[in-house]
Amino acid sequence: MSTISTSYSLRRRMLVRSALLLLVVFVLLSIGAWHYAKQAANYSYDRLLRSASLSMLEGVHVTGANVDIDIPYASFEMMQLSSEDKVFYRVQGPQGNFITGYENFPLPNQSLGKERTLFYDANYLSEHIRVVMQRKWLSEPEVSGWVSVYLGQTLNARDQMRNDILVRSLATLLGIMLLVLFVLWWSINRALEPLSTISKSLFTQTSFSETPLDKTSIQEVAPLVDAINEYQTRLASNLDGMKTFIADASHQIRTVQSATQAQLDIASQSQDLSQLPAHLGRIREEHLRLTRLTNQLLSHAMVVHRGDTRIVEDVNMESLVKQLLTECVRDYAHTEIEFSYHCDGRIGSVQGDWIALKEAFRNLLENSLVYGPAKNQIDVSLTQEAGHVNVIIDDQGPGIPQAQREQAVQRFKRLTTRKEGSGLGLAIVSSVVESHEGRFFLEDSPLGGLRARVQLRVGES
Amino acid sequence: MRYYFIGLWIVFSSALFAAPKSNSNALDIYSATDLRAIKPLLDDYRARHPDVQVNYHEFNTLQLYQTIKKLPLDQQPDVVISSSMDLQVRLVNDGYAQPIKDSALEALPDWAKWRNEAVGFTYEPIVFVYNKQAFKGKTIPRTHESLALSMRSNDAFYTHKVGSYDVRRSALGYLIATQDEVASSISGRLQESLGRTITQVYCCTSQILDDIASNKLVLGYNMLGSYSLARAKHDPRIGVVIPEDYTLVVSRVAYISKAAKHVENARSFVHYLISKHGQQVMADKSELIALYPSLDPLTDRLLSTKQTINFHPIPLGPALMVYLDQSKKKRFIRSWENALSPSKQ
Amino acid sequence: MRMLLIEDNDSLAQSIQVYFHNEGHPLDWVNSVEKARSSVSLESFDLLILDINLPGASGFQLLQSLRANGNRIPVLVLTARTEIDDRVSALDFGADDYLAKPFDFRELAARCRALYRRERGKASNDILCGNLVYDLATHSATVNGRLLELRQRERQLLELFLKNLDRVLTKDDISNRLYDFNEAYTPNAIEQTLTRLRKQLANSSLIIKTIRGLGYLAHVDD
Repeated sequence: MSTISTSYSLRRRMLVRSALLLLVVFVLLSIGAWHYAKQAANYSYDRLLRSASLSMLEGVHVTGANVDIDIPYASFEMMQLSSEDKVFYRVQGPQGNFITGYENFPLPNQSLGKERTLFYDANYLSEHIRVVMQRKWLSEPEVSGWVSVYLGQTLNARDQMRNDILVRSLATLLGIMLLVLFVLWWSINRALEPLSTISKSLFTQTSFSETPLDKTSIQEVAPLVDAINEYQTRLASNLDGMKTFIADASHQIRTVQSATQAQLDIASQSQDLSQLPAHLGRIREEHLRLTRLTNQLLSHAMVVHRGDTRIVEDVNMESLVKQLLTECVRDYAHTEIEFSYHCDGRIGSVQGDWIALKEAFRNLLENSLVYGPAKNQIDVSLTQEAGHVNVIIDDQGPGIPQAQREQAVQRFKRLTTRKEGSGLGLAIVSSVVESHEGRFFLEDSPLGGLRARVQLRVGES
Repeated sequence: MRYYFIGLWIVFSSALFAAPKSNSNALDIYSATDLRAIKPLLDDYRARHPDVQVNYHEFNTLQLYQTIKKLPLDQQPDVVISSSMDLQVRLVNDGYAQPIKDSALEALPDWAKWRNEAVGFTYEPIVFVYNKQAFKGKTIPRTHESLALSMRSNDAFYTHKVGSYDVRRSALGYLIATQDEVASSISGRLQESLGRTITQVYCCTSQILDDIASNKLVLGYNMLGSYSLARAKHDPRIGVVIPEDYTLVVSRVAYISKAAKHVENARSFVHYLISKHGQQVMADKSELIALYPSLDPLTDRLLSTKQTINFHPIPLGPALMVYLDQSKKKRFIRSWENALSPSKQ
Repeated sequence: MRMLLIEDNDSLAQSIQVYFHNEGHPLDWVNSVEKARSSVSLESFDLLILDINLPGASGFQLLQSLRANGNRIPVLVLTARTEIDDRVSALDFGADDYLAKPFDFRELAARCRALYRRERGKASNDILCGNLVYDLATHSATVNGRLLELRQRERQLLELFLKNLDRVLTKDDISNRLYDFNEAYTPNAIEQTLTRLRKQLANSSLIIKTIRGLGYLAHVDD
C-alpha cells in the first residue's frame, strides 16, 4: 500500500476548483462587459453628438463671400440630453478661418481626407472631451470649400452610462455566478451523498458482518457497492477457510503428537525389548509426518508473507524448473520413479518471486512423489501460449476426483478423504499463484494420474 | 489693470480692526445683485459666521462677466453671483467653477442646477410693470398677446412710453429677450410693436421703475419680478402684471470659483443660500424671491391664485450658450436694433 | 573420520554424538563459536558440523573467518531458519553442504561421509562412492573390491559422472566431453554405453538416473 501524503476533501476541492473557474469566467466576462459598456455609451453619445453637429451645420449660410452660421437652438437642446456635460464648439470656414465658437478649440491630429464626419478624443480647458468634426462642402459662386463644425462634449454622461451598464451587467453576472455556485454546491453534495451513506453503513457495522450493503439505484455507485459486497464475500470465505484451516492444522498436529506420545508411552511400558524397534519405527514415522507438517506450515506462512510483501524480479522459468527437478531427482535417485522434462521452445520470464514460485512447484512435485505409486512416472513440461507460461506436472498417482478438484485448489481447503495430506501443499501453490495473479488447475493427466497446471503471465521487464 | 467698478467696497465685518488674521478667513463675493436686495442675507450670514470677513463687490451683469474673464486665476473671487444665467453657464462651461459638494443640492429642482457647479437660488418671474395712474380705466394687458394687440391699437398711448432693457448693455435683458424668442412665437410681433412705439431702452431695472413711477413711462416690458414686486410693495403708483400665457422665470445663479482662496467659506455661503434657513430669510426679509415656493409668501400667493400662470423657469444648461455665440449674438442684436431702430441712439 | 560439532542445543548435540559414536566415528562437541575457534586451532578435524543459529557470534562468522584464514576444512551447515535463505547464503559463505533442521540422522551421516570421501579422494586419487571405488590413476573401478570390466567409453562416462555427482549432465555435455569433434557420435551411442555401464554398476551405491528431456544425474545412495 502506498501511503496517502495528504488527505483532502473531494467536496471542497470540487467546489474550490469550480469557484476558481467561475472566477476566471467572471473576470473574463467582466472585461467583456466593460468593453461593451464603454462601446455602448460611446455609440449612444456619439450619435447624439453627431445629430447635434449636423443640426448645427444646417445653420450655416452664405451671403456673398461671407460664410456665417446661425446655430439652431435645437442643436444645443439636443446636447442637453447629457445634461451634466460641458459643451465646446468651433465653426470654421473654407480657408480654415475661425467663424465662431471657441477659438483655440483642439483640432484633430490626423489629416483629413474626404470624410465628412470624424470622431476624436481631446483635452480642452482641463477636461477630457469627445469631439465630432462634421463638415459640408460649399460650392457657391464666390466661396467654395469645407465648412466644418467641431463639437466637443465632456464625458460625464458617457462615464455614467458606462458605469450604469457595467454595474448592472456585473450585478446580473454576479447573481448568475452565485446561483451557479449554489447549484454546484447543491449538486456536488447530492453527488457525494451515496459515498457518505456507504461509509456510514460500513461504520455502523461494529464487527465484521456478512450482511451485504443495500443495492443502490445510482449507476455510478453500483459498481462500488458491488465491489464492496464482493470483497466482503471473499473476505468472509477466506475467514471461513482460515477457521477451517486452523482447526484442521491443530487437529493434525495434535493427532500426530498424541500418536507419538502414545507410542512413547507404550514403548516405555513395554517389558518386551523385542517389541521396542517396532514402537520406535512407528514413533519415527509419526515424527516424520510432524516434521513435514511443520515444514509445510512454515513454508505456507513464508509464501503468504512473501506474497504480501510483493517481491518482484525476472524469473526464468526454465532454469527454475530445471533446478527444482534436479533437486528432486537427486533426493529420489534411489527410488524407481521416472522423471522427464519437456520444454516447448523458448519460455519467457515471469515477473515474480523466485523463492515463492520454486516453493510452489516443489510442493506440486512432492505431492506427486509422496502420493504416487512406487513406480511413478513424473513429467514436468513448460509451454508458452498467448502471453502465458504453463507449468504442467503430470503423474501416475491416484489423482483427485473431479468433484473435489475445485475445492482442492482453494486456499485452506483440505480434502478430508486424504488422511496423509496436510492440505497445505495445494494451499501453498494457491497462495503463490494468487499473489502472482496466475491460475491453478487440476486436470486429468494423460499418464493416468493427476495433472497440475499453473498458468502465469509472461512479464515484460 | 483697470476694472469697471460701480461696485462698492463694503466690508461686512466688525473684525475690521483685527485685520491681518481676518484676511485668511475672508469671503470674496462678486455679484450682479443690488446690495439693497441681498443685504438681509449677507447680514444674517455674517451674524451666523461672525469670524468670516465677507467682502461684497457689486457689478452689473455684463461687467461682472467681463471682469471674471479678465481676472487672472489668483485674483478670482470665491463666489460669483449673477442673474444672467447664460453668462454664468458659460463661465462654468469654460472651467471657472468647481463642484459644490453639498447634499442640499439634491432638494433643488433640476432646472436650477447644472453639473453641481452652478446653483440657482432665487425664483424671479419676468413681469410687466405699469403705471397705475396711466392705466386708470383702461384694460391692463395680461398676456403677451394682448399686450401686442394693445400696443398696436393704442400707438399714441404707448409711443415713447414703454421701457425695456437695452440688450446691448444689460446681459439680463439679453437673456430675457433671447429666451422670449425661444419660449414664444409671439416675440417677433411684440418686438415689432415695441419698435413701432419707440420703446425706451435702459441698462438697469431701477431706472425703468423710477420712470414708470414718475409716469415718464406707462409700461415696463420684461422686468425682473423681484425688484419690481419689491418696489410695488412700497410704491402705490406702480402695478405688476404676471403674464398669464407664459412667464419666464430667471434664477440668480451662484458658483464657487475653481481658484477660490476660501473654499470652505464659499461652500458654507452657497449652502446658506440654498438652505431652508437662508431661503426663509430671503423670503421674509429681502427683495429677492426664494426658490422654494412654500417658503416665500409671494410666490406661494402667485402660484396659488386662481389665475392660470405658466411659469417657464429658464433651465440651466449648455443650451443657454447658443445665444452667446458670437455670430448668433451679432445677428440677434442686429435684428433687435432693426426692430427698435427708432430708439437707436 | 574425526568431526567437530558446533551446536548449542544440548539434547540434539548429545544425540548426534551418540549416533556418530555408534556408527564408529568420534565426534567432539562445543556449544559456541569461541570454543570452536580454539578447538579448531588446537586439533585437526576432518569435518565441521556447524549450526548457524548460535548464541553470540553466529556460525556464518566462524565460517567466514575460517575461509579468510585459508582453512579449507569441509563444513556442513545445519540451519533451523526458513531453509531457503540460509541455504543460499551458507554456500556463498563457503560451506560445502547444508542440512535443514529437523533432519534424518541417516541423511546427516551420509552427507558427512560424502564430504569426507570427497576430501579424502582428493588426497588419494581415489573416488569413493559407498561400495564403489574409482582409481583416478589407473582408471579402474571396483564394487565391493570386485574389479569392473569397463570399456574405454564406459570408463570415461563413469569418471564424468563421478566428477559431477548430483548434477544434471545433458547429452550434449556428455558428447562434448567424451567425443572429439571429428568422431562420429549419436545419442544412441551414449544410451548404449550408459546401458552397459548401468549393468556393471548393478550392485553398487552409484545410481545413474535418466531424466528424459533433460539429461542424466548420478547420485550416491549409501
